Amino acid sequence: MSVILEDFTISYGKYVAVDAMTAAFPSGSTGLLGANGAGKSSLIKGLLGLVPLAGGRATILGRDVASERKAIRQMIGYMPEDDCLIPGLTGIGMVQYAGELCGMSGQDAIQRGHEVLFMVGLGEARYRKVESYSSGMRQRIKMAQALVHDPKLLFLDEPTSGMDPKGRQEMLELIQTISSRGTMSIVLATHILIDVERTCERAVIIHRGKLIKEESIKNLQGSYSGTYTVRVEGNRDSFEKKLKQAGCQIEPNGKHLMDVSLPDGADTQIVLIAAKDSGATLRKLVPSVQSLEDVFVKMIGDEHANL
Amino acid sequence: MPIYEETYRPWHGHTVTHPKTGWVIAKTGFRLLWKRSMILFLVMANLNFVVRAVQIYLVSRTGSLSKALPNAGMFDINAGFFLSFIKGQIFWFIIIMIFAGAGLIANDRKFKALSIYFSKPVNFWDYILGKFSVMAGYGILVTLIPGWLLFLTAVMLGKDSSVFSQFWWVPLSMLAAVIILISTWGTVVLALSAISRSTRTAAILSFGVFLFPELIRAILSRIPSIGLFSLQAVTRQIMAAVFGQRLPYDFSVWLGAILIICITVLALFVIRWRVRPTEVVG
Repeated sequence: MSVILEDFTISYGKYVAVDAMTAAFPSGSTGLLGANGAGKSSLIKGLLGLVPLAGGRATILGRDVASERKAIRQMIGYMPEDDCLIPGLTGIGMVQYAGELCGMSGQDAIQRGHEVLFMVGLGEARYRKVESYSSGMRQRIKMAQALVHDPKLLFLDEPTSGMDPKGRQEMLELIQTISSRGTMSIVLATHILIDVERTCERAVIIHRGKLIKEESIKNLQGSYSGTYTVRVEGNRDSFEKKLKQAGCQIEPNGKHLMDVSLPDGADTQIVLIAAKDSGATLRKLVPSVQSLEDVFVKMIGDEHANL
Repeated sequence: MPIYEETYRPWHGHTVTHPKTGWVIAKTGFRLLWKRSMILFLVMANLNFVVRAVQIYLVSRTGSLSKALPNAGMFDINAGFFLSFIKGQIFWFIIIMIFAGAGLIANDRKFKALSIYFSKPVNFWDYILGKFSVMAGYGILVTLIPGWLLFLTAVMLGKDSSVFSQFWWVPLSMLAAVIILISTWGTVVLALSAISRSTRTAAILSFGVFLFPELIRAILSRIPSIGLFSLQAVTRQIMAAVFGQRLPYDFSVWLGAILIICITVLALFVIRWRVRPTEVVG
């Protein structure tokens, strides 16, 4: 496990940002999903010791967050959400500086700095002062300073925010590449669900500081499906009527297909019976692939309903 | 501009287990400030050294001028001579402390760099020690180094070993005086830098602390112990005591020392309060 949380709590005065969260992030890439203000950034900052814990405990790579802060920080990389820069330095200077702060020798840090800056696409701008960088370039330099010492665990807080579509695409590709190598675990905090869908194996969904769900992306999409893509030939109107009578919801999906959402607790037998009763020939019955967004919206909706 | 022209490659090098992050911060900060304007300040600040060195040379060539000139005791090479050199450096010392220190924390706060620092194996004391060392480094270049060189010049140009045998303790006094100067003004300027996100504001505040209390002290000089109001006066008083010279003001050295300790502790509290990796609003 790369991160283990036990009743992990962070509060700012009376406001509880992370509320007694218990979870475990396995090695690999984990998406930390939540709406704005859900507590994603606070959770990461708490893990790094940037904000004090109000309660509970946590371990990162087997080390206690409260007592082994320095050792943890040497093993992790952090790309903050804010527009953070170290003023006065050039791109290469800033990455070298970050490397030296992590314990690399000056020579190693500068050599690796050049390499990392090429990886993030700042090769040509590496001798420019970081203050003159555009917002997309600032995202890249933050990524470079987090990667310079080749950490075992990388925390990325909204890594694509402020980037143009092409830059965003490239950033996600880089995250995917790093993730696919399997040597570095990634925790990606974002509210952009498609980024998590594309780059992560697992998702941790949080809402108002509480853990809602922790699951692999595939299972997550499956667990909330209940929707099937259906194709029939023959008496389609009668088939639809029978399904509606059985409590199904039907959405047309192109000319020949329809998405059928089954009522709670029902299984695909309903569809088969409707087809038999209406005399339609069932040509296709497969689970619809749901986007993470559909799942997320449904989960948050469920959470509101439970309140 | 593609985001990667090379695919991600892991790094298999070695990192030290306990990196000396304070030293890394100090080294980088010192290098960043080492530019033309700073070098100009350093040259101007050390003109006094050149004048004093010439004075030592002339005295060594002509013998003690005090015998030939009225009120020429000031030309004698003794502890007072070295104290007056250090006191003469205070103006430039403070200018350089403000020039070097005003932006040290203010800029980091302005560009939200603290999140980056504190996500590395850097704690509050590493960070402050690093920043403080930048100021101390430049402070030493205009006080202790020229002071010791001046002493060395006096010893070397002396006709016999009397300068060294009589005043061997002067380099230690200089060290103590410079430690007092740097620890006081260094923490005050850093605290003012931590209060603001603007280098200019921090510099103006620092000049205010340097000038106004001294101005008030000069205007109200008839009031006993008014010197305690001015940080400059307090440091001069303690330095005089350290050099074993006549005290320039009528307040107790110990009271001054306690005041300086309180100011330094207060400045550290301000820095601790302002230097936080995450700005918490509300």
